[in-house]
Amino acid sequence: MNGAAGTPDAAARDRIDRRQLVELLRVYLRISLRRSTRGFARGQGSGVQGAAQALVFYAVFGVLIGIVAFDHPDVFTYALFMQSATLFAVMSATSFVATDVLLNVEESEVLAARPISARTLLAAKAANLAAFGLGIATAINFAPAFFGLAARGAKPWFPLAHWLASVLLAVLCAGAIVLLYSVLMRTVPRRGFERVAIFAQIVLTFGIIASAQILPRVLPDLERATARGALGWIAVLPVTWFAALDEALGGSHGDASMAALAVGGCALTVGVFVAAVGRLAPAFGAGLQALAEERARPPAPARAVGAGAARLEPLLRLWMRDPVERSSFRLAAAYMVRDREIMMRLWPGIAAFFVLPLLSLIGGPVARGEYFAIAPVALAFAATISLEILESSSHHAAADLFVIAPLASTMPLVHGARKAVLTCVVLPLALVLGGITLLVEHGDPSLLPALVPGLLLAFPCSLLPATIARYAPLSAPVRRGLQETRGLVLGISGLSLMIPVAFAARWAERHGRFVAFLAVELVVVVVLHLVFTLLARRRSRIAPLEEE
Amino acid sequence: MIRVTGLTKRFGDQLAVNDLTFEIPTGQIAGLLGPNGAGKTTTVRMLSGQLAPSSGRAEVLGIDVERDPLAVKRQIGVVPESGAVFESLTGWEYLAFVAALYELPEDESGDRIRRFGDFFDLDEETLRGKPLAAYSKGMRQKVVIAAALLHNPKVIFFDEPLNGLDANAALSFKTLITTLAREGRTIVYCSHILDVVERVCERVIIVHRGSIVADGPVPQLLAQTGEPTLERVFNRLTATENLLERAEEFARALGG
Repeated sequence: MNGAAGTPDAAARDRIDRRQLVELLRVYLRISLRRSTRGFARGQGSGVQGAAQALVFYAVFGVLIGIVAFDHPDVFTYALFMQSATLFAVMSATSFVATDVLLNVEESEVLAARPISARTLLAAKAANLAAFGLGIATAINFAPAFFGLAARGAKPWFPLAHWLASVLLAVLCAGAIVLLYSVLMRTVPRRGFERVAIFAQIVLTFGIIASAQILPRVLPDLERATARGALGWIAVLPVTWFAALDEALGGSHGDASMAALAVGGCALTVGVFVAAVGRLAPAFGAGLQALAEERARPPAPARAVGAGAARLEPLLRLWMRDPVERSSFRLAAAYMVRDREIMMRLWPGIAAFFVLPLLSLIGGPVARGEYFAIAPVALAFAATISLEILESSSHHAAADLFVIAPLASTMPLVHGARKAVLTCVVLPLALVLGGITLLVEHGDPSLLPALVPGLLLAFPCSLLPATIARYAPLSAPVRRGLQETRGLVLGISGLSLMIPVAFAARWAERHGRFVAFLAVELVVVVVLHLVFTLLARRRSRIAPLEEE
Repeated sequence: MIRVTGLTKRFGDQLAVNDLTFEIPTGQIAGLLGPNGAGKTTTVRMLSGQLAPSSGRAEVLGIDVERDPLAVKRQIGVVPESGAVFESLTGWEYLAFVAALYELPEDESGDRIRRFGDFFDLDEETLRGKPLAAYSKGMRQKVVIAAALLHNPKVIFFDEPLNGLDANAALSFKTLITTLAREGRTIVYCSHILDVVERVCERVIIVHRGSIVADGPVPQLLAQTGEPTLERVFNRLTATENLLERAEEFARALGG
């Protein structure tokens, strides 16, 4: 912990305290399965429910992917396919919760004065992340492990072998993230560390999504390559090593090279964990202390921070007549650009929506249609997920103000927050995407209209979180562990709304009817906006609670 | 005992604590006072091994805090101003967790939690059954205090410990800390409630803008400044304007 770590020299002398490690893990588990019931958001579902929803979602995701086993690929190809999906899901989810697990502000307040060594604390955090990844990996692979019996050469104990390999992969993901943070804490100057961490997480998300695009492109040639016994460059991908472990333990065609790759996977996992928790623990402890010092530093003068916002005030008054709505806008905007905790969840959380459209540009002329389908979904998703992330904050107790103040409904708060998201997230995202698209396309503006359906769709999609439950910005406790992925799950469920728009946009672009499509979409968006506003209004009433 | 020599903390170019030097002997209750932002919490965080000093040296029970913060932390208890707890845990779970961090055997920690519960009028059913998020502010503060004392520390840092406590609990607490000091615990007490400090602390250290501006027993400070109360001494040493004039001017402005 901040101070718990103490100086690097002192922390280096301390071994992992097993009892403390077990107690910390037990507490982390309890916290991740319970939801705080205090304040504005009380009574909005339990933590266990949120975690269960997330696990069911991942299990369904696994079933959809694992069906490929009934096409009877060989064990290695099937395992490579499943382990790639596992890597993508575990790494995305783990990196999404990493800042909360590793750099938690509230936790440091509680543990800073306790006699916990940096190594014990880091081991507990790494184990917590690993357990989190393990839960997701197990959910994804639960059914596919049995489906794998249909793969060519699978032995009866393939399910067990596959589970073991996916568990190791999940542990590697957690270790890699801890290693990344520890290295950053060792190398990045104290001031501005959190901004660098945000950037690193965004880069990590880019990397994960980009690497997930590799497999679909190589799959057609993979079986031919494995039949020749020449894996080529695929052999250097860590995911291949874990697929080799599947083959070595649960397949019939494992040779010496497969065994070597499998050993490589196991050695990599151990090596990464030893490096992260063993060697770099003192650096991590010192880094946490540096962060504590940053927090203790007196804040910048208010005038300097608020000067830009004051210049926008006349525009805000034109756009939002209701002073409560304007206040909610200012509150949400300030947190999105100023609050470290929100920034560390928000920007990495929406990085995927930035990467996906850009990746579709790589595929050349064929990808043109993909861009028209992905860009609208990305912008609409960014709005929904940002609102979802903005709902929770470690300062949620302050949301009692919304109950104390003479407000009959949360609707002005909802509108203020969603307009802040549209202004501070969706619009800049569209502008940057447009700029990069122009660069990649050598100044050809013909792809830019693809951003318009997304900008339109973002308006109703920004209302989605308020249609599910009573919504107010920063009013809920930060969700922990699997609950944290609820945003992702909600967003992906929202695809049912966005995918038809994406397909329609792609079809319209191909058939030269894009302008007509936009006109139809505008009507649909207006209708959806009205419906969602009505739904949100039904949930927005602020009334005295009948019980604490 | 606590020995502080030239303790200084800089955050970049801002000087938060400037060259503090003092000693607090075993069994003494020392009040650490100062206006908001004076450097009290930063000092407590340095003395409790949470924050590394920029320069100077601090020893707690003869252990150099910077060199071996873990050894210091095992011997001390801290009630932080934030009163932060893991809200999703029940009071009992939280206290049991804290006890485990100090390696108390489980049966002993259970006994101690029960005893603290009795002392602070926290019934076992509430402690075991409700998450801390559902506790009142005062109940949570009792748990925070219990968490600081559970392992029987030799040095205790209290930062605004009476936050949220009702009159009876506050009285119990004041009695408790004087008893603890009599039994040989060293206590550092940070608070803005000056009449409590005046009654409880044998000695007062007043910090202003990171530096010590007064240090001594309350009667001595009263005699030196010629003021009738500690509150007036504090105001004289740390306020820059006449409070009454400021209040009257403000009330007039408020009235339009």
